[in-house]
Amino acid sequence: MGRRDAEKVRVNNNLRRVIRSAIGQMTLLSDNPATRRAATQSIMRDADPVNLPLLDEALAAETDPGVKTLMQTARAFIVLQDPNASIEDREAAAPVVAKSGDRSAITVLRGALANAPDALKADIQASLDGLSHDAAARGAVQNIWYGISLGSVLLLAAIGLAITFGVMGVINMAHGEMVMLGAYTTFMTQALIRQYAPGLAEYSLAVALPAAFLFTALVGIAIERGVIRWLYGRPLETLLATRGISLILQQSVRTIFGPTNQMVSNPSWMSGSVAFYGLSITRNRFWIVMFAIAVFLMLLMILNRTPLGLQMRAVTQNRRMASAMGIRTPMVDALTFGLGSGIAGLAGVALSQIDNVSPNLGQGLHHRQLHGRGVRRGGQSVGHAGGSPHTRRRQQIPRTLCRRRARQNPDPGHDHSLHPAPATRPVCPQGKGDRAMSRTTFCRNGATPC
Amino acid sequence: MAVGLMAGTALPAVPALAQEDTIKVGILHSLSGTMAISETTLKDTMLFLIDEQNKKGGVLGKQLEPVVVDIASDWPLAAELARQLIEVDKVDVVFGCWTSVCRKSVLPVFEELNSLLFYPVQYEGEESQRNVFYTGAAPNQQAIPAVDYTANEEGVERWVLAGTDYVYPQTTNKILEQYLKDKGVAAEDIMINYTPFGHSDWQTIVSDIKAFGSAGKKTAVVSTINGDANVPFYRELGNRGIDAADIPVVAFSVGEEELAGLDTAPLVGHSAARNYFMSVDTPENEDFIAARQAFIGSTDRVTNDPMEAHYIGFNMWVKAVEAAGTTDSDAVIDSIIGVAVPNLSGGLASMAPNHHITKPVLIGEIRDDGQFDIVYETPGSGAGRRVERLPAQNPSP
Repeated sequence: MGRRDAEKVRVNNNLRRVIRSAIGQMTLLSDNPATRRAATQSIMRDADPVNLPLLDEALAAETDPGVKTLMQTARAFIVLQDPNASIEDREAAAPVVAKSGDRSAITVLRGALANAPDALKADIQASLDGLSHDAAARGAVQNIWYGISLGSVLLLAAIGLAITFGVMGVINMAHGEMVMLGAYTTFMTQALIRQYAPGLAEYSLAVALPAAFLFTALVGIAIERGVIRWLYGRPLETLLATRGISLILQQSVRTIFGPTNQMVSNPSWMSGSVAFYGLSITRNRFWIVMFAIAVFLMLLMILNRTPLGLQMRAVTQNRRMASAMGIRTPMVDALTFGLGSGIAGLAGVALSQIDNVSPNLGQGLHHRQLHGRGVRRGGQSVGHAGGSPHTRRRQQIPRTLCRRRARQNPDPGHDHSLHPAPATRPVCPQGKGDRAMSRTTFCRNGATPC
Repeated sequence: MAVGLMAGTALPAVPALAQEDTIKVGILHSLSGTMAISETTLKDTMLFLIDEQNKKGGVLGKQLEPVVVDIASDWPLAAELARQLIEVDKVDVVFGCWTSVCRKSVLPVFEELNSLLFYPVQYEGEESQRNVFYTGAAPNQQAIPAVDYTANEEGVERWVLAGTDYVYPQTTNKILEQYLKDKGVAAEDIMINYTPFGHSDWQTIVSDIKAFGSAGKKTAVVSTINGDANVPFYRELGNRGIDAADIPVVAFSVGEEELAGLDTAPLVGHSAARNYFMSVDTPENEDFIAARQAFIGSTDRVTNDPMEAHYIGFNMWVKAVEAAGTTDSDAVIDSIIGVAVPNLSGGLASMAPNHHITKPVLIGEIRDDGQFDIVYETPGSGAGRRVERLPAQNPSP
């Protein structure tokens, strides 16, 4: 008999629900509390009154207090949805269901309200009102969390950009591609680990982080040494050159790995969600928020506590003086660019956990972060927060850019500035390049020694 | 028509074409930019089909020569390149486009120069142009059967119509909204949501869906989310524990390619409505997959619905050209009506006078290996029909 002669068993969702419930019934009396918990949850979802005697038996034998509470909740769920249960039972069940406090409780209570006899309606309605009130409050907190989590992703992606922009005045249009390279490094690391050390798959991200940082930092340094250093002081040319690099990187990745998404798996400690006082917080987002904070603190420490940070700040504030004091400014530039790119690589590892790993990953970020006004505002604020207290007080990023413009365009007649003249002329005390700068929207800070 | 003839006669090089010993086939897909993820594989499929045909001796005794251009996900550029293909490269037929906006952009060019376009992707209907052959599904060949299936099998009473913000999802959702209302679904039981291309932060929308689904009625999501945005969407669904047994998602733009970058274990049971799945168990499909994988030299690349559409469209064109004895557009347009070729799911696809083809509708549920289990198949051949304009009280934009 050929393969096609046999009729295939097709599993659809209806069958899947039956199977889920059956597995729940069979494992409800298991020795393992975690299995019992899962079994109770699947029985709770089905809410079939047939399971009540079984659940009562399990409840009597249950010793784990957590599982016991869950079983009581499950029992209440079933009783409340059972039209044959006595009114007293259902009346007692309503508050228990309401106490469990999640979304499904609202679903069940609403369903029960529609079918309940009049005697019960008031009770159920009271439970439901309390729950809806809580739900509204929780919704607000949940929204704040979504904001934080979205913000942390943007922060991670933009923070490296802020460093190169802040310190060197280079708008790196290839920054998104650095993020993409970080994500592809994660993919490669996972692929290698899966092949050579499958036991370590859970920890692949721990390997991917340093690998992505090093790889993207090296690529960044190569770009700085190979291209950008010839273009210092020419922001428009840098913009164009880095845009070109971004296209080259994108297409090379597309040629090597193909245009389709690559599969990066979430380790189990980053999948699923945890219920936290009725909030549902997905684990991957939670860890990314933590990671963004960690990267941020690490960057603060590098800038404030290491020799490289000191040199970076010195170069930022006064390049010529720093050079005169014996700081090798070209090396500081290269390392700064490497640091910014490396952090983009770290962002790539994080983004690979929530977004597509495809050649377009970086481009999507450009659209979100680089284009439009967000560049200046976002870049500034992150730069300030990430920089030393000194830079935070001053308009660091625009100043650096102004200085470069000033150096480039001492003659105002040749100013290539993109920005129209502001209505009021800002004060820029040191005469050099004064008028050229006045045509930019930067340099509003009168105290800034441009 | 008249314009097309005039344009044809205005070009001195046209008669010379007949003496050339190859027939040129234009391939108009995005090989870079946001749509490259979907379209690059279609270009590979076309090269494969042309190569196979050449091995069989070509068409009309001539070898086929592919001319590939990259429209870079840029629709005005698509129109320019279509013109270049027809006027400069002198191709006889073009296979291409994915998005509806691409098709709409190149349409006037094909009309003006009277050339042929085979368009392989499911779309919103409401179109039937003389120079275009639609080998993808119209809404009645995909969306409506899928909604019927979900309503009957899962007992769904509340619907979320979620899509990417452009012409195909907007029009399809408008058709579906009307269809559901006609079936007696109340307006408050329908939630419509649009997101931009490449949307990646699905937290709020998924929790809205969850909240919408907790009204005590069985809820399903009908997804016309396109391209890249699908992976983060499904990932968020999986992480939030939205199980197919609770809130099933029925997608129209998701296939094997879209799931390739995803761990599908949490998604088992969510479904897609297509006209072809790689898991279709027929000898034709087995041969096609094996030959294609040998051609591209990789056994882990998947095949999907638009590839089958190109397969059907290409074979129809070959048959029509051989019947007409020429590659001339007018002759082919006449001879292709009624042409029937085997599709990969074991039936026949035939070209209807409205330039749409007959297709079976398959509904597949996602498996944990990224493939689909076919749970439903239309009994008939599923004739393609142009979807008529919507009722007046619900005008199209």
